[in-house]
Amino acid sequence: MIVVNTEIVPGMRVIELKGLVQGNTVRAKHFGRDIAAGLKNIVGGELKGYTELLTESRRQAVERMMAQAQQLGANAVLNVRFSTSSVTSGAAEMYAYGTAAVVQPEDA
Amino acid sequence: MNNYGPGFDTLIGFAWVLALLLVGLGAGKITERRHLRRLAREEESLLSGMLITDLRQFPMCAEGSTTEANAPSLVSGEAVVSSDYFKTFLATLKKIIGGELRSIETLMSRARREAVLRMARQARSLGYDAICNVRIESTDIAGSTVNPQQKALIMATVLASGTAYRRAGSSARAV
Repeated sequence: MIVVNTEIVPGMRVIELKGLVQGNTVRAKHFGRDIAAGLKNIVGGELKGYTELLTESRRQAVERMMAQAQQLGANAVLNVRFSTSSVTSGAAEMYAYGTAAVVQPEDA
Repeated sequence: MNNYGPGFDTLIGFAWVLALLLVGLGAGKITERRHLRRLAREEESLLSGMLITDLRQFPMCAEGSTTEANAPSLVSGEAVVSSDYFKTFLATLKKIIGGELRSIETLMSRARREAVLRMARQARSLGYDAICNVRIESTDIAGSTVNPQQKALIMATVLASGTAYRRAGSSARAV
């Protein structure tokens, strides 16, 4: 499946729009990671646990969005946007949305 | 309670803060310098020959037939960089008189460069050599916007995303 955050795919033509598809997730790391983050706040440096948290959340949100697009019979999601919101400390909501579409190569 | 009186407890408290400040100053400086050096090194090797823009078109996109296999693809990168005790202390002091919080500024820029670098690395490993429509945003894992009363950790949280594609005349291959 083609997933892009642009409105067009060069060399391809949109032949059908399937509408908005979305995926969201709220994730947290186990509390040991939160304590480690508190300690890291003394010496500085990257909070790997929270970076991982964001990567996993993003992947899961995109996967859910793609699953929805697949169900609608689309082979592409265009103009994908991410949005995050703060729910509580140590957790992140990741929301991905885009337009599901059927595309085909221009020369086909 | 000890038998040295309340003055001793205050002294112990001061000693703790001083120790944390020194640890923060020392370790924080080392971590930051190492991080900046690594960023400079990796940016040089990874971003050379790579086009990264926030334009919504595909500048210099390779002509020819696009198939599912060589189509553009979403790439992203994340980074969370923590403040250290010394930086946090400096920021708290600076907030009394107001103005620029330089120690936090460098924190944000480190996180941003790291996130863009990770995005570029993903694009490179998928065999692309250009990224367009780059979006950079930040979020709040510490939860300070939800609960302002809570003494939240200071951290820079940055998310970068964009669409990776192949440029004309390039021979980029997956590595």
